[in-house]
Amino acid sequence: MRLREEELEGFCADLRARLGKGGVIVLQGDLASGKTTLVKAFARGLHVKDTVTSPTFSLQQCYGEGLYHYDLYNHGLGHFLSLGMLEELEKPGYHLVEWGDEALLGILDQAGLAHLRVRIEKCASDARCYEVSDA
Amino acid sequence: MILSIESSCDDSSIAITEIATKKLLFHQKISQEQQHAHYGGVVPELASRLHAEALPRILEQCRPYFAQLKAVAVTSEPGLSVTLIEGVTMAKALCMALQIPLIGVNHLKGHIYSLFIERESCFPLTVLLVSGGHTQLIEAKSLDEMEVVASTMDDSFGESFDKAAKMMQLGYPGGPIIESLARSGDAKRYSLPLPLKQHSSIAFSYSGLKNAVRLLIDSADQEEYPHIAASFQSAATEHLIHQLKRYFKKHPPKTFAIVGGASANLHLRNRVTEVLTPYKAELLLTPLFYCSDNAAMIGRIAVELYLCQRFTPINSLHVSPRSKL
Repeated sequence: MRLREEELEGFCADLRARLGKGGVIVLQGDLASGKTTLVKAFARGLHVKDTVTSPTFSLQQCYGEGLYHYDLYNHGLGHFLSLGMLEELEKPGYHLVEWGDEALLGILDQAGLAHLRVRIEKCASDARCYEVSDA
Repeated sequence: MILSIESSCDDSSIAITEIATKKLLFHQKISQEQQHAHYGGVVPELASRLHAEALPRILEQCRPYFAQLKAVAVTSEPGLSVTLIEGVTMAKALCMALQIPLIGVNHLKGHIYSLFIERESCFPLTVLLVSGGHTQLIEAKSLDEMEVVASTMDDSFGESFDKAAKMMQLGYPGGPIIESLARSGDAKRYSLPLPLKQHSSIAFSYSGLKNAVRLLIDSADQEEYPHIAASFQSAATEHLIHQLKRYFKKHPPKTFAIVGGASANLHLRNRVTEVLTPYKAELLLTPLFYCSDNAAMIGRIAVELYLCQRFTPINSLHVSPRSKL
């Protein structure tokens, strides 16, 4: 699906509808492909007033009780797990994970946590292509 | 003496600070990044809490000081809930066992007090906090009066260096790598956009610059990397400088400080020094060793809180992932 930035809020509403009450959304795509831009649109849809900033260094940013933003870019999945972060993904709400890989998807499957994978590719200067799947 | 604990993210650290002299008597830090290598393909259900292992190992070395402790201080916000709780639990247990008061500390305020490790504090200050996780301009009038007057809208200054280095496949951490490579490059070779040039309020943004660098790298040969590194470092720094100049017009600095890991960047230090010269403002810098997360800075602010008798009842200290100064 090819979308421009202004169309992202509608796309995020569809993602929320697919997940129901909550769950994990694994975001995959290169640097500067627009993963954080998608999270910003997701936050707008949840009426989050705080500025969504990158969790690359902090690993996790929390917005109220319902939106959690993670980034595995710097340290990888093993590090994330060894800090005890997996239990964070069980909290009620939406958990958006940048740079989540196949291993994370496998763990989510195993743990029975509702999840979606969104692949993002830059397909034009003002648009990105999004592919959503359940695994 | 005060025992202080820091576990807000990757690092487990404990310090002992003497109250009367502010002297740092003990300080140790175990980086989770180094520890993690042993775990390899970790099974999540069995995953150990690295802080739960590292903190007791450091605490064991502090036993000789226990009888002289007057309080225990701990970072309680902001940070990762699951790691903050490890430090807070240990602090509470120590306070109960030793019958001494507890002091909850804000991690960001701790970074500001990293300027005053083993020395007296001085206020007011204008502080630029630049690290992998933060890019903030803070007006610090006193221990209790600190206000964030500008912050990043997306990526941080330090993170943009990490990502530029990663895109050129140069390794991690990116700050020193880019700085070193930039020395052999021509900063004027490429014109990169200055973020938020026309923005009405004072703020920082590094996301657009990251995109511009990516496009540049995609179309360039490897021999151009030193020039890209130099052009990028220049643009990233000039963005900070541009915003600082705008801020200083209305709020001339008297004492200015740069704290956080990215304050090690010499190009940034030199440019800030040039901007401060007309104002005859003093520049304070945190010793490099204490730029990243550490318990020494938590102990230093805890001394001030102890002297004001600002203790936190054990039952009311909770961890918080977000916080305001």
